[in-house]
Amino acid sequence: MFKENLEKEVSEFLKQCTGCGKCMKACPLPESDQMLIRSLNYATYKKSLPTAKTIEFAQKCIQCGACNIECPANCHREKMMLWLKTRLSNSLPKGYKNALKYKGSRLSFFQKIGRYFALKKLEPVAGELKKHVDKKDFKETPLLFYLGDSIYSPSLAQHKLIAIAEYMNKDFEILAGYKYSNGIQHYYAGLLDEADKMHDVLYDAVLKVNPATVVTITGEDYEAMKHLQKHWGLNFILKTATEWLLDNVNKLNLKGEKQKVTFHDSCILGRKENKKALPRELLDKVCTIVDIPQDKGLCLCCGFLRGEHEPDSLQRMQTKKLEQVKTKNMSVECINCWNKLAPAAEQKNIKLTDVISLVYSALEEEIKEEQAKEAEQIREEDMEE
Amino acid sequence: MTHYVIIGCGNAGVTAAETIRKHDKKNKITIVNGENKPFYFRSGLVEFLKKELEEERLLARPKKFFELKRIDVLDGIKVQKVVPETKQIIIDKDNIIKYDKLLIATGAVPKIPEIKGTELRGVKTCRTFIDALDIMELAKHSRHVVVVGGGILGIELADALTKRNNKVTILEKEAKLGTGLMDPCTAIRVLEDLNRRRIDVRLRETVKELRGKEGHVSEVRTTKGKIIKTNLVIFCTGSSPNTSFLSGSGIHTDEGIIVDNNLRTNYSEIYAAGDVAQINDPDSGNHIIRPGWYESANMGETAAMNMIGEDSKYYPAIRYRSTAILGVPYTCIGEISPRVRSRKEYEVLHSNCKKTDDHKLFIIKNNRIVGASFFKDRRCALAVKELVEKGTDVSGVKKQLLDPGFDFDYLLIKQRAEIRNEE
Ligand SMILES: Cc1cc2nc3c(=O)[nH]c(=O)nc-3n(C[C@H](O)[C@H](O)[C@H](O)COP(=O)(O)OP(=O)(O)OC[C@H]3O[C@@H](n4cnc5c(N)ncnc54)[C@H](O)[C@@H]3O)c2cc1C
Ligand code: SF4
Ligand code: SF4
Repeated sequence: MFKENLEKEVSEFLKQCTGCGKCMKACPLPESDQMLIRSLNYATYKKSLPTAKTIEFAQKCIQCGACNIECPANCHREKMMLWLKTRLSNSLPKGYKNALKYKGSRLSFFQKIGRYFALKKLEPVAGELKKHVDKKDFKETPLLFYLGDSIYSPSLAQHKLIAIAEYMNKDFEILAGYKYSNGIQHYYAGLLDEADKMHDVLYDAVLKVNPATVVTITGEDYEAMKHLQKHWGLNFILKTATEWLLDNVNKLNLKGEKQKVTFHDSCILGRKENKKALPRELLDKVCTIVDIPQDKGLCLCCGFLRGEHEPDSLQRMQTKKLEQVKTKNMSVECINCWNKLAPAAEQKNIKLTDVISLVYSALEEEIKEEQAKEAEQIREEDMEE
Repeated sequence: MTHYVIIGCGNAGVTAAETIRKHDKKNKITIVNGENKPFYFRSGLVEFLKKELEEERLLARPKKFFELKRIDVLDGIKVQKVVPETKQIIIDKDNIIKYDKLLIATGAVPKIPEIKGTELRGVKTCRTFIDALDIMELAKHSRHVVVVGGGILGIELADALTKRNNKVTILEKEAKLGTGLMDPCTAIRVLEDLNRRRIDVRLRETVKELRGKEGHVSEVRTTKGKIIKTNLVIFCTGSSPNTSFLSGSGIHTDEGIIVDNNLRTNYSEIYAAGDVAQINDPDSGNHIIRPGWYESANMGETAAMNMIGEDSKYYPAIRYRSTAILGVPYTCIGEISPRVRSRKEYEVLHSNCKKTDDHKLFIIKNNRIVGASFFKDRRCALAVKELVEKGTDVSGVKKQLLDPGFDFDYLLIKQRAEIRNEE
């Protein structure tokens, strides 16, 4: 399903591209300066494999979407790059495959064992939400939190979001675990068929819940749900956690002092979905935002898709990024960005938070009070019995 | 052995040659290129003049492309005549090429109004690479440049020349800039921006006469009786299909070359594609011209499929132009011209251009969007294009169309889901 849609879209973009070169001027990869549009376009549609230089560039492309925004002809260079990658997917660098090794449907026996132990270690992070991991039974309900792999995020934002939902007395369902991975890393690596299979699994689960609204906490999860809407015909309203919080935050009482926080945009949510304004609107209620300059050369990316196969390059990107941070606190919107940036931020003594956690902190007192009240009630009821 | 001959080495011609080669590995393909420069990104000329794109980056195909695909290109050669009876094209009396299938993809030539003095040196248009080089050279010797025509090309050219330290005056005979392609609010925004860039824009005023000294232009006299001293005048007053060399050939032309939806002319082995073609539009029953980069590639592809014996049709799609004006993204879809907008059956929705930075415009007929334009924020452009193409009913959401956060994708997704459910 991906493949035909992508091919069709890309062939349109190739015809629309007027060769102005602005996409490569916007691209944060240093190699982009040397890329010629004619070679890139030709490599994208010709049958034989492109030159080594083009292959290297394609494999380095982090699908950040900075190129899309600058294109006067409204082409998505990022998708054109992805199409190129699909043709190179047989020659993926080894580390790339490593990053994908525990996800997807094509796991070998040893990978399955490896995954079992890896997840065992992460179990404490899932905490109380553990009962939702890879579950098969879902109730039909209007609100679905799609957490996917992020159920294991050490940021603990997933728990806070659920706590806020509970505090607001919402009726909801949770979809989480490696079985329900978003498939977007496979997609970005050009493994479209594999991603398709993973979405098939997601499709069945979402259909069971039949939600009116789906809320996600990472850019990748958001993109996966968007695919289900667009290419699989599922009909629901899709929201980032930010959007969902914004819809509900006016009903809540946010407290606390406003600290200075540097904000890091997510590539999928910020650039490709163009939702840059929303997290700022939300954060404005709980902190004072400082923005990072986004000029070319200054790294825009948390390093997602890099790293596993290029640790040096990951480190360089992150160092460059974090050098721009002049405040003690830094916040992200996408929880994947958090997972990726956390170790580097710790080294630099930057306190990394996320949008959900900041809102939660502003509510914490009240939520705790509420929880205490509830506990008290239960105790009283017990006593009466 | 079939000999495919293509006149014109622009987007339509090259795409056609490439498509033929994809399906036919053995027969001979020849392109006659009227210019000396191999196939290049024509619209990149503006960026080239702005010094944002080096000459080396203008080429639109890898250097060995034509060799690799075994496509013969005759550079710098102009076809003088086409003789359908003997299946020949004539370059000069010694050079005649025989064809079995012919594609005419000669693009367009700039229009210059019929006034006194246009033959003078220093009077230019901007269509080819050579034009761009000439403009660069001439601009060095003329501090003040006059650009005639305030369309997108005129505006961009004025900006490019300002970046080259020239003082520029734009003359536009209409009351607003960018008639036809730009909605009034966008036109006002752009005008303000031009003023900020110290470009002198004069509306309702155009050239009446050009005067020269020793064969070189020296002053412009305008319809308002003003005199502007200048050594370089550039006409950006539109273009028309390049068909002059076909007169007397028997090939039917009107404004452009008349073709059916297989892009075939009145001779069964002669086709036309790109800016030069005037295509049958089944909706209106007229033949219309659809110039543009994207359109010319599509037409080149369709013509090629028919030349190799397939049955492939090209229908003039709704107009879709995405570009950047003075660096601000702008997209226009379908019909937005004032003529259309003043008619009764059309409903016009647009954002308040005094209040927001972004501007959105929708033209609605029978509850369907038939035209739209977006200035600055055009996230929704591709989705709206699809809505226009599909003729989706928007009666339920008319009030929300202008909301900044309105999700057009959702509208499409809902429609797709409905279609799926029906299936
Ligand atoms: C400065 C500029 C900016 C533009 N910007 C955009 C844009 O942003 N978006 C967009 O969609 N469109 C844009 N256009 C329009 C776009 O470039 C054209 O629509 C497109 O190039 C048309 O392609 P074509 O192949 O039909 O014709 P052309 O590209 O004009 O090619 C015609 C070819 O035929 C050759 N030729 C002509 N006569 C003869 C002859 N007698 N013998 C042999 N050869 C001959 C010419 O030398 C030329 O190589 C722009 C055009 C210009 C000039
Ligand atoms: S998606 Fe990002 S990395 Fe890839 S080409 Fe575009 S700007 Fe460069
Ligand atoms: S910015 Fe767009 S039109 Fe320009 S070269 Fe890149 S894809 Fe092509």
